[in-house]
Amino acid sequence: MDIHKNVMYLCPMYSSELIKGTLKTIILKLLKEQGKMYGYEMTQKVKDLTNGQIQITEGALYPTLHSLEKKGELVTEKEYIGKRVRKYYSLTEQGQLTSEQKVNEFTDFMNTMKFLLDLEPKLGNA
Amino acid sequence: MHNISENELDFILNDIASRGIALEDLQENLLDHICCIIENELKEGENFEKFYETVLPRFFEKELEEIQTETNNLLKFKNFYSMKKILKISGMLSVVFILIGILFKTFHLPGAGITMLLGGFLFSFLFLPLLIIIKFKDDDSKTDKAIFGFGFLLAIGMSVGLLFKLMWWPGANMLLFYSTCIFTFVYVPVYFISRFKRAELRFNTIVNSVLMLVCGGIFYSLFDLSYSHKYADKMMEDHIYLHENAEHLFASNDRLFSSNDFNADVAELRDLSEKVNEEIEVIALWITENNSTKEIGEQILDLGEEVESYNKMLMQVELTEMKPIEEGDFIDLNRLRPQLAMKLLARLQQQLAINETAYLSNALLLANAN
Repeated sequence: MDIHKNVMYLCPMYSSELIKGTLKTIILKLLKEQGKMYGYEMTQKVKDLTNGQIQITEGALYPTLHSLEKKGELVTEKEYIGKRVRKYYSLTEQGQLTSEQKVNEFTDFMNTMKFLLDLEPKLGNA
Repeated sequence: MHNISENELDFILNDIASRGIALEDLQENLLDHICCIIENELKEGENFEKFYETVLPRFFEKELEEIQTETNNLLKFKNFYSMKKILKISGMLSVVFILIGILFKTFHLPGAGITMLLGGFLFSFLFLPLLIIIKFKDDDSKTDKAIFGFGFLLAIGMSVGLLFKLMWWPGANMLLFYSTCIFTFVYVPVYFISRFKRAELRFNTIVNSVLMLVCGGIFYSLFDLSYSHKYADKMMEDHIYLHENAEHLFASNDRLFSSNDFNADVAELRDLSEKVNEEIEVIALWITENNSTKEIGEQILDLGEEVESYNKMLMQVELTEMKPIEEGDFIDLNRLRPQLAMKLLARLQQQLAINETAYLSNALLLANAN
């Protein structure tokens, strides 16, 4: 059931284990900064920002977008390009809060990991 | 940059639909996404269809439908979470309500019944049904689903039965008794047999089965199955009491009759009354000897005839203290249990005796007045 176990969300650089649980955070943070975006734009943006080190796969992106929309974190706006429809996603008020929480949570997690793995030896330890 | 033509658009849409993407939202998203990729990456002169074939595999591992399955799973998951939340809340509330109800009951405070009722309702009609639904979604094995669903249904039966019992509503005993019986003697064995074979579940299965069987058994032992026996004894007591009273009255009537001069009407009534009584005694004897009320249809008819002429006489007399024997009181005797039939017969005898006494006293009063 867990999408993060899915290999679809595998990027060429990092193992899926490592990125487990970050897709939501990435999407929410991206939308907070960019305002409104559509699916393809998101994948390209992440690719550009990380120099291709993290690539969001479509197989994981759309299910997550739909579930975030249903939870009320995102709203959509439709734009017609000829016969085809483009859906722009943007954050709701609740989404703004969640975005902040998720980023804080992840920052916290990274700091803890740094400490745990002793990647940043403290001065006092020297 | 390639411009997607309408034909190409239709082609893509048809293709993703035929690959099992049915959700309209998802179709729109994927269509736009694929178009974007093609527009940005298809080089001049490259074949559209060939390129499309290379783009599509980016979206899945084995087949495109995975995206839709994944989406559905995530959407369902949300309901799943809210359901679990409701489950937790309803469970907690029912525990709180029942505890408060118990407290109120202990201290004889008002509102104990309604609080417990609320707790019971929440437990039976929200908590347990949700548990069934969640089990159905959560579990993969169909046997497990069926067994747990069945078990929880029986649990609902038992808790509703208890609720009914608490509120003195009709049907409580039946609900409780049958749910408990099915639970203890059908469900527990089925549960045990279906799970015992699975090595990884064996220990838990044994422990759970023992617990459930003991609980069910204790519950079962609480049912008062001797009720009908007590009932029969009570009937017997009533019958003897009524019969003795009737006999005493008859005896005192006899003495009264022989010590005074009465007119012919009195003798006639006594005669009719005695005939009815004789028929009653015939039936009573048959029932006592055979300990059964079957095959007394003919005697009932005989009694009916005597009662008819007796009632006719009563109609002529028109004395308010005298009550005619009603056919409904004895016509169905052959459908009753012996003890109950005997009691009804004794009642008829008492009625006869009382009528006779009333008639005799009335006749004496009239004679004295003259």
